[in-house]
Amino acid sequence: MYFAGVDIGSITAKAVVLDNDTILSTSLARTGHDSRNAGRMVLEEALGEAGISEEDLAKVIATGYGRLNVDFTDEKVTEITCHARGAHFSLPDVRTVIDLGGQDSKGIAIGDNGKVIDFVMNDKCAAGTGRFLEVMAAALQVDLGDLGSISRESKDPAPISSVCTVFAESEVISRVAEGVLKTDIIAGIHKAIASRIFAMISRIPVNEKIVMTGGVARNSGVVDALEERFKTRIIVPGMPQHMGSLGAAIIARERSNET
Amino acid sequence: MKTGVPGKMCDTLSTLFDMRQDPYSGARSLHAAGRSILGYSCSYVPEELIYAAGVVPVRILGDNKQRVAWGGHLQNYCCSLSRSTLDMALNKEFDFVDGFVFGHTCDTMQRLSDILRINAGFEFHADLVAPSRLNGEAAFGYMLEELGEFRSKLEARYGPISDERIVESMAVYHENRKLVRKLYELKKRSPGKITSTDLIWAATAGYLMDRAGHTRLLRALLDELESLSVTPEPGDEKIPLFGIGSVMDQWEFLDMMETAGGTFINDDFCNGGRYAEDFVPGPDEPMAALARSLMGRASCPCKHGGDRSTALIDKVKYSGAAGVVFFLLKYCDPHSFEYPHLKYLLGELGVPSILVEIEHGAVSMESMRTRIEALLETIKGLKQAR
Repeated sequence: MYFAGVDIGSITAKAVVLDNDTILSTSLARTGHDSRNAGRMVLEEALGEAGISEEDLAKVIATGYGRLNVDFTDEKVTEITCHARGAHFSLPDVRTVIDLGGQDSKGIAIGDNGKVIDFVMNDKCAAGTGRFLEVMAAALQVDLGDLGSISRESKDPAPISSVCTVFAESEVISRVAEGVLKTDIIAGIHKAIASRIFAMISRIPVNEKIVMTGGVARNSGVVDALEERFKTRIIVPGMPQHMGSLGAAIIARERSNET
Repeated sequence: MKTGVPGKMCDTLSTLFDMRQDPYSGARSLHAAGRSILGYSCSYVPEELIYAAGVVPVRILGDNKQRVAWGGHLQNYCCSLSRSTLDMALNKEFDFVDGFVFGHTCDTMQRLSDILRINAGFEFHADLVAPSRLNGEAAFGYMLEELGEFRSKLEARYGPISDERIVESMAVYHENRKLVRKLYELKKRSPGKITSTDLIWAATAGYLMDRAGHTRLLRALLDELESLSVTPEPGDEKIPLFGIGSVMDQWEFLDMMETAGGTFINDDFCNGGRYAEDFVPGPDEPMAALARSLMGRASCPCKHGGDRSTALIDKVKYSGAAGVVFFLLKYCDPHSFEYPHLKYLLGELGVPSILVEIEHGAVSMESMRTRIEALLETIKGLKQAR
C-alpha cells in the first residue's frame, strides 16, 4: 500500500511517497504565492517519480502552515507532530528535534514511540529561521547555500548581539562598515542563532541525542554553532527538509492501518 | 442536540453574544440613562465600594483595532492592553465614564495610571495602592487605610456612602461570583452545554454592565442550560484544557480552539475562573470585611502572599484538564515571570502545556491554531501511550 505526506511550508513545499516502510520518492519546490498549487505540484511530482497515481494512495496527510488550504488530502496534522514522527522514523534513538524552517523555529521533545511529549515554538520573530538567513545573505551579498562553508573559514566570529532580523541586519551592515571580515560576520550570525535557539529550547526537556530538521539544517555553520552551544553532536538526517512530509506519510500509514 | 455552538445554545447566550459585538454598549446606555460610570483597570480595584457609591464600575478590556495614538506616551514593550486602553482614552472613546480607578499591580499599569491622568483629562482619577503582600495583619491595616482613602475620594465626588450600602453592595458581588462559580461547575459537569467562548464571555459581561443586572442574566442562563439536554455525538467530545493568563478577551481564539477540538474546562483568567474564586470573610465591620475579601481571593502574579503556584496547580488537577494553555499578553511581565516555574510543575505532573502570546490588534490566528492543534495531538498521543 502507498501513502503520501505533503508538507507545505512558508518557503518550500515537500512531498514523500511511502510504500509501507520504504521511501519511494520525494519532491521539493518553492511554495511561492499559491500554497495550494505548490502542495498539489509536489505531490504529483513525487507520484510521477514513484510511478504510481493518486488513486493508488491509501491515505494522504497534509502538514505545514499551508495544510489547511489544500483539499486533496485526507487529513491534516501539524508540522510539530509530523517532524517528530519523521525524525523518529529516521533516527529512532533521538529524543530532541530542532526544526528550523522558513519562518518557524521549533524544539520538540519526543518519547520512545516518536510521539510528542513537549514542544516550543518561536513567536512572530523570524530570528533563527530560514527567512532570517535569507535576509542576512542578501545583506552580505552571498549565496544562501554558501553561508555554512564561508563561516567555517572564520577564525574570530564577530559578536552579533541582536537576534531580531531587522536589528541584526543593521548590526551586520555596521560590522561591514567597520571592515570586519565577511567570514567572521557570518560565523557571528550563526552563533547568534544558536544562542537564540538554545534559550528557546531550554524550556522543554532536552536529551543529548538531538536531531536537526528543516531547511536551515543544510547550513553547516548553524549546525556547528548549535553543537558548540549544546555541547553535543547535532545529527542531521539525509533529507532534513523532508522530515515533516515523511512524518505525515508515516502517520497516514498508521492511521490507514487503524481503520 | 449538537454541542459547542458559541452563542447559539440558548436565548440568554444569544443575548450575551449580541452584547459581545459592542462590549461597551451597555455602559453607554447606562450613562445615557443618567448613571455614573467609572472605568477601572484590574482585579484589585474594589468594585463593591464603587457600586456602593451608586456608580457602575466598568472594567476596561483591550480591543483588536489597529491603534497608534499610544505611541507618543508608551514604550513598545508595554502590553497591548495598556496601549489600547490609553489609545481609546486619548481618542475620547470612553466618553461614558467620569474617570478611572487604577489598582496597584504591574509596573505598566502603575505608569499608565499617571500617563492617562495627565493626558486624557477625565474629571475623576484614583489610584488604589493595594499592598504587594496580601497576607498578614500589617498588609490588612494598609489595605484598610487605602480603602478608607478611596472611600473618601468617592464620597467627595458622589456623596456619602453608608455602611449599609457597602454591605448590600458586597452581597451583590458575592452572589454574582457564586453564580459565575455555578456556571463553571456546570461546565465541568456538562462541558457540551457551553463553549469556552460563551463561558468566559458570560463571566466577563458582568464587568461591563450593572452587576445586579448581570446576576439576573446569569440566573436565566443557568436555568436554561440546566434544562438543556445535550448528548455529545460520537467524535464531538472536546479535550478538556485549562487556561492561564491575565485577561482573556480573544473570542476568535476561543472559537478556533473549540473548532480544533479543545475546550477550557476551567481557567485562571482574571475575567473568568479567577474572578469566580470569591472569598467571603466572617462577620466584621463593612470596610474590614471588604479588605479581607479583596486580600483573600485567588491572587494574581503581581502580588505576594499565599502560594499561588501550588493553588493553581491544584486547581488544574481538580479540573480534570488534560493540558494547559498559557495565554499571555506579550510583554506581560508578572505572568511571564511565573510561566517557567508553572510549566515545570505541570511537566512534573505529566500535564502538557503550551505558551500562546498575543498582542491586541496583531493576532495571528494561524500560528495559534498550529500550537493548539499540536497540543491536542500531543495529548491524544500521550493518551494512546498510556
